[in-house]
Amino acid sequence: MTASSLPSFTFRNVLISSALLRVGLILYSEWHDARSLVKYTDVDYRVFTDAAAFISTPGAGDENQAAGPLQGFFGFKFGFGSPYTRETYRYTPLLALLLTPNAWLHPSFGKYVFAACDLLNGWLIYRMLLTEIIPEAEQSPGESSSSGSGAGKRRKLNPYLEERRERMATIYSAVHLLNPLVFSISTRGSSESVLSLFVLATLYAAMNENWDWAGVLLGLSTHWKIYPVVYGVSLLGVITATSYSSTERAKMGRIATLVNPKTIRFGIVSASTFVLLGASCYAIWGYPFLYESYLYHVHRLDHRHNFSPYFYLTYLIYPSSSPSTAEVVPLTWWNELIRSPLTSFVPQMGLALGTGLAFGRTKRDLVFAWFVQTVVFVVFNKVCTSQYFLWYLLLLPLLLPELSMSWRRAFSCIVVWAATQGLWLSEAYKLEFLGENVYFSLWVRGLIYVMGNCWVLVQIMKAYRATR
Amino acid sequence: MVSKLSTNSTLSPSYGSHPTIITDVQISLSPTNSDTTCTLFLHYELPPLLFVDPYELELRGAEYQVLETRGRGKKELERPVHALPVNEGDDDEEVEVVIQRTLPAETTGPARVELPIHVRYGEPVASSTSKPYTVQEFSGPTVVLTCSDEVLSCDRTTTLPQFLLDTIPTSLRDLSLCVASQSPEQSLAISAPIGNTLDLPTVELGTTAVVLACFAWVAWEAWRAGARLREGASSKVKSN
Repeated sequence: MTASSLPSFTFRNVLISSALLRVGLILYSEWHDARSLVKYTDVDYRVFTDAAAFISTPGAGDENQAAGPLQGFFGFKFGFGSPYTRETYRYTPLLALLLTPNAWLHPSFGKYVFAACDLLNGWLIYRMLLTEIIPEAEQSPGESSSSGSGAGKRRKLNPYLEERRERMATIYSAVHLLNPLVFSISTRGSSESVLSLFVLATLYAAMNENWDWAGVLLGLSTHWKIYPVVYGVSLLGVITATSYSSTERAKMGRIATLVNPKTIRFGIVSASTFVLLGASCYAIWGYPFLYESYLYHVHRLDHRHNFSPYFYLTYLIYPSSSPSTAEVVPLTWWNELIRSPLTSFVPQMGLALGTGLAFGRTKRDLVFAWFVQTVVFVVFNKVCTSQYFLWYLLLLPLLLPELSMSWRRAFSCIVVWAATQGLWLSEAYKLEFLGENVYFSLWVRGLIYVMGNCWVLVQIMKAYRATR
Repeated sequence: MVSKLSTNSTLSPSYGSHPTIITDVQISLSPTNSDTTCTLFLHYELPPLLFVDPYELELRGAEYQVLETRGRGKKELERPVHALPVNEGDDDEEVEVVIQRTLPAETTGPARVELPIHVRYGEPVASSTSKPYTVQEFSGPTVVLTCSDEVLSCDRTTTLPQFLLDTIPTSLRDLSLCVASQSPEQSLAISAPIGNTLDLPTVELGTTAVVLACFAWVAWEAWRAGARLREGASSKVKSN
């Protein structure tokens, strides 16, 4: 039996099933958490909920008060508490604001919001697949439909082709909606689906060549979490490709394809949105907002074990608060270079921005550019946890129609991607729960994780729009 | 009222990053007044290598209430032990936790209290054994029993820590108390792995080499993919 012969396999039914699945899991989480000390709900959700409670219930005097310069407006006192009263809350205050109904409406309100974002993401993926990506992919690998101004033209299709496209779009969007990693993360109370919504909305606006909206949404995404800023680089080339004729573009130099009135406008809109959101949050919550949301992440030292091999190096050289009085051996230039933040920053940002410039030339390649940029950002980051994988898995259903690889190669990619994680997790279990000294072997497995993920990425790059 | 109090604590497990201090408090009470309520206070002193998550403890509200915590490791949950800030304030080296549990009037038998704790990363050392560990010993909690409207007959000889005395509510502090603590011979111990600084040259070189090699590899393949896509676009323009 194939998907095509299943009478009920429509996107509507996939969406309804996904919704019921998420509601069921959220209800289960309430039942489970009330009876077990080992909670289904993620620790982060408690952090968000506590922060939301602190926002809506400011304390007396200086206790739990928003620390920004703007305490009121024309005599009206805002009376906000600070979400940063909650230790380890290192997100935008807008997230805590979004979850304030957790206190007065229902403790699971936030989970329903995250689940709803999941469903919206699935719908956006379906729409982009149906209207842009699958029609493009049905052309030969070297071709690209003329973009012109505005959205791509839709020709009248025969019903068989329409049905086939809808079926493929449904299958690929189901890869996201029914992905256990996706629905378990949102129902456990992780907020990744909210950022995913902003990222997909940015992509959707870009696909429809609504560049002002794309700029606003990119600014919002970057305010929420910094990493989406790299997508701006790939959008520059696409804006030029869709806004100027081929004749005009032929006269442009490489610099002009990135810096011209259209891209400048996009940059201004995006940057203004980011600055406006940041300024508003700073005005109310002050320096704690700046530090916890952004500055902390610049200086953070993640010494505890995670997929990134940098963890062990960070742990071994973590600065002591009480330096030893023994003679300190000065570092060689080699040590200084290796320990410099640039040694990790340059490969990561070099690849993230470089691949954005290299692949961000046509609208058709935008998903591929963002996927590659996100993977390199995650793989070369100094810290990596399972939640980071969602950042690029989100884009995978949109990329699949353009990949040409054998089933054996595809299977190998899945096995390598999963096996490198399994290899690391099995060793991390020994450290965390059995107390065994496996730091060195865990570090080695972190190296294998980096190499394995790079191999998978290279296979995907080779398979992208490859000649069949 | 006749009353007896003794305590025995164990660490379960005595390894790993997330053990639990399990304290079995043996109580024998025979109150003269049926309206009597008794309260247990447990005072823990944890070395800097260990810490509690106060938000996690809030989830155990049905079992006990956390009255107070203090100590220089109380807030810096994410640092290794050698990077804890050296405070200028009142916080001592150790983390102290006081929890309170209310008991029914006629209590006989063990009352079990479980305190989940977490282990920081210890300070790395240079070790020729290549897999060093540190063993941290610490004491089980001091247990205090007090009952309203009753005079307890147990012998109280143990000196109470000032932090514990200050935390016990005033209304109960003036009542008679029973105190019990574990003998020093029965101290708890946890074994925690620590990093080996002799690994540093290998880790530095290996991390840098692999990262740079993968960077070069991905950059090369990305360039090839980009060239292929540009060639495909050029072919399309020419054919048009």
